[in-house]
Amino acid sequence: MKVLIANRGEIAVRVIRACRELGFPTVAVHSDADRAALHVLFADQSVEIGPAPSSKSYLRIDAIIDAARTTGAEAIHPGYGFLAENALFAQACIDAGMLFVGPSPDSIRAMGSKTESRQRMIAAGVPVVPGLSEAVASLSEIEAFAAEAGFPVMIKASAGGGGKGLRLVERKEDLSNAFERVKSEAKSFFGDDAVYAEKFIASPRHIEVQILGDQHGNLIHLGERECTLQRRHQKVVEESPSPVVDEAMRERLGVTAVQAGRAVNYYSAGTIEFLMGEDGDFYFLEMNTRLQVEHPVTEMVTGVDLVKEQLRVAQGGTLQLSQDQVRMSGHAIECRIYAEDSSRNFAPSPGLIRYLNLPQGPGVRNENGVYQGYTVPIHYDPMLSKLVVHGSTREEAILRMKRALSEYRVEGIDTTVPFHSFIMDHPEFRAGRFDTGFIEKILPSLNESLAQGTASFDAAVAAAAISAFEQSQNVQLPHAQDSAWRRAGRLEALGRGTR
Amino acid sequence: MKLVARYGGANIPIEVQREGSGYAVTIDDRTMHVDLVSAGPALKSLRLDDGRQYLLAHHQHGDQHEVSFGETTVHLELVDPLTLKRKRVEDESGAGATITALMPGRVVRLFVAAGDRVEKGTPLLILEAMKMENEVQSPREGVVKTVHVEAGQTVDNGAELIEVE
Repeated sequence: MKVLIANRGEIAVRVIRACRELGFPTVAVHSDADRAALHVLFADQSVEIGPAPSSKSYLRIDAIIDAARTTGAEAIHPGYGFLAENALFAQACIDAGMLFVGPSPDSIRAMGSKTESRQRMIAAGVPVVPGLSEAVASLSEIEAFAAEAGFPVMIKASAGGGGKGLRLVERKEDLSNAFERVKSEAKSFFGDDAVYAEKFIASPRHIEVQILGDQHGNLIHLGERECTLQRRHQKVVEESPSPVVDEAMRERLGVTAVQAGRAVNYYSAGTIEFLMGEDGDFYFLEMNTRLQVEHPVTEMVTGVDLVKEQLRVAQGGTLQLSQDQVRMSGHAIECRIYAEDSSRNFAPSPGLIRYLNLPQGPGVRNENGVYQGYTVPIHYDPMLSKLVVHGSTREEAILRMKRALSEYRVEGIDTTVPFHSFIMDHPEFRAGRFDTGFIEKILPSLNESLAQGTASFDAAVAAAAISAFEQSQNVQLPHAQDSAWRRAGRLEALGRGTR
Repeated sequence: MKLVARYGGANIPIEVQREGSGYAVTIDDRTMHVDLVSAGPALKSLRLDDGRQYLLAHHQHGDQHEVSFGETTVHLELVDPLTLKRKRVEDESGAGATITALMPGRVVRLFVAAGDRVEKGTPLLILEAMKMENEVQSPREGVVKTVHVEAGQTVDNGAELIEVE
């Protein structure tokens, strides 16, 4: 079965790997900015589908279906993001006579609208967070809800996901600005400016359950993932199992998640996200009707290859295991490595990767989407890769992650590697005591820790000064008024680009 | 050879001398005895005389140096003492502020035009990179002298955006 991957970056590479293990040929698609991207180089075949902006390439249903037709692809895997939760896309694949590697368009549609999914969950007896169950037409409706439910409230894009298109509002006077900003982001990222609002649960944890089903009515859960560590509502570190979930709670979460999946006749891999209050009560937040970014932590503790299961299920196969065959072993942690400068308020840092060394050794897995010499483009999500470790206990996994991060070297652009290292060292993280506000809370001390001691500073200055000294010995003075220094700098700049 | 390292607003005197197969480097009043070898195209290994060592990446653009240890990156400027004197004069005479892009990105919206009066913190424009909208604010009060960009334009890291004086 030839499979086209309608995505880019590390997830496209991940899917290609699964296909290869199953003996399926692969087709990559790409924008004109991505001709040399890793996923394109990695695939057996590739097709250019449009210009750099996602709206003209990775979000173009017609161009992707055309690419599948011309290459003879029999199945399309959407990855996550882009068209992964677009029911029209799933339907278009089916209409073109191809398999969509994911759930049915009906399941996507039901869960894709956050407002409709809430109604479906309420009907199925799954607990939900108090909020507006319909998209609002005007600011005044949100104001009325906020007055009734009380602040803080969260304004969300109905078509949103992945942490984009939402704002937390603490005060009445900020509502209007947040409303406009979310609408604008919703329009540009999801092509739909519908928004709604819900009550914000204080000090919550974000815990999600992986479910997996086939087209023959089998639906199981693969335990939970702890995804509480978030920044700007974007997950940063995920782990499985959660340090606060015991066997009894795992059972309750799992049963509720399967119940939620059954309510929309779910098959393939999916994730039910819950918000858990300090009291251990949990509420349905949303369902991601696709493979999740953090799926590897579940794979590491259960030994199930979720992507291969998705591919088998799409072909009409049955699940490889039943609920009582699911065993969780050890502990897995994932760090998302972003092209962002953690010392400069996480400013995006696209550009040329001059040097890359990925960690190796026992229990280390890289889900990597870039390479040395690759230029990270400005057009897409800043996630470069995911670093995943597995250990026999949470303690071992944390120390292993810390060790792996110390091997991670990316030169040329800034990444969140130092930030992750800081988190792994944090006593509250090590103790498993945190909520979704944890990252914001520890950021001030992050900046102190990055401001570093004199030993490495002296070494840095010495290395730079020695290089300058060597240049002054080697380079002849070309003009009387121009220093050797400046000329050396210019030569360097010509040879190495402008950064 | 004498140099001055400019780092975080401070000027630190440096002296480098060859010493056998290595170097003696004096930073302020601290002298280190080190050797430095290339470890592939991108990396260098710096070793102190007590055996402690650092694997670092050094990159240079003119007088600007970037030295990274993986977890920490130090940005500094190395100049000769004469150049420093000239720079000081330039710093004192410069009256306006040029706002530059701190990242490559696309200008999605402009809030000001030439002639507009702005306060410190007034939003000037929105720069979008990697799916995030970032508001660029005026670092000082004054009048917008020049707007170098237009909405929709893609800019590089360090590109001049707006001048305020």
